[in-house]
Amino acid sequence: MTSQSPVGCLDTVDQREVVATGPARPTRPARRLVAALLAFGLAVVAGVALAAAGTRLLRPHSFAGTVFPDAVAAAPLDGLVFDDGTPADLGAWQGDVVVLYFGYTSCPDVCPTTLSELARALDAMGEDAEHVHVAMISVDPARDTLPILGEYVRHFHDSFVGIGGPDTAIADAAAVYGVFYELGVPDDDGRYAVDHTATLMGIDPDGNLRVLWGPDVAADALAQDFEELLG
Amino acid sequence: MKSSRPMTVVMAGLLGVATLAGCGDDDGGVSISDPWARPTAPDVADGAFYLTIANDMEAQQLLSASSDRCSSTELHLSSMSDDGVMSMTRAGAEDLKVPNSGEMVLEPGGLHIMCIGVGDPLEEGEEIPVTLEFSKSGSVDATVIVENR
Repeated sequence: MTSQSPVGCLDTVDQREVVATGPARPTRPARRLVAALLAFGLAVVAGVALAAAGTRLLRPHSFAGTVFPDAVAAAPLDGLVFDDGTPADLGAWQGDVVVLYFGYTSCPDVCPTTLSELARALDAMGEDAEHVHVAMISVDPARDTLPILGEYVRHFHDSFVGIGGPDTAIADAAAVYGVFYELGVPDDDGRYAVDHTATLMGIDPDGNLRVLWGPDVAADALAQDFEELLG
Repeated sequence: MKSSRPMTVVMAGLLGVATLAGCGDDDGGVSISDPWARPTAPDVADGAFYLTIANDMEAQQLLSASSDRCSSTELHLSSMSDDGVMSMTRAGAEDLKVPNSGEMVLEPGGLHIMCIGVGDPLEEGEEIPVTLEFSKSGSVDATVIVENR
């Protein structure tokens, strides 16, 4: 209600007074509520931020293979050589990831499949592929001479290497890596297959055996696991 | 009436032939899809052919496969034991049963046609005629495409 008389001022004063006596109290709960809401809001924001950071820090990468719970130094390949004849020294690859595979070139189905997937995994990694070394150890030295072995593996990817050597050294390496292999009985034409553990062994940049992948592992999963091992 | 009898006989005959043609002819009851093979590395003697067989009729056996591209052809089976050991053996009758109204898939890590003695390596883009023999459908032809999968 407006008033034009000087009485209006009094009215205002009266109103102020009325206002002044009541409600200092209702504002405190209101302030508390606002404060509480602000605190809650901040907590939510902080929580979300922490969770986002935390999931990266705390959630472990899930490998597409069997992981060794403890660090196991990868055994050296004594007595074995690369397909260029130089000693197969895994130490030369320290700092990089190494994938070892026991196979043979006369294997028409499994070995080509596995090596093709490995090649595809490397091609999916761009430059990082330079830090992954794939080596196939032949369990069939009678047929797989070093030149044949080298030519075979590089058919799949030009960075792959073969590893070979005398029967005894291969048998020792297989035993140490828990790999079974058995040459089949030759047929009338002298042909034979070789049964073999077709697991892929993953060695990390510290030279420790870390992961075992089955022969049917997919290229994408391998690429991700290699990236994880590279750190 | 008299003139319709020979027609009936002819019709019955035609129907009979048509029924017979449904099974045992070129495509009778069986169709092949996605026939393929990987290129082989130099100096590798053998290759593997893969394909999918769809069977529209009652169960039958895949008996054999042949191709002029190979010195000889066998049906093989790769398999993995519980502890990860891969072996390859000649596929037995049990492995070669094509199910009633079902599929049989020849694929990496499993059944495959082993092309023994390729001579020159199988090259990407090559097309290789292959003939499969079935116990009921007889000979069925397919063309294997060599590609880098």
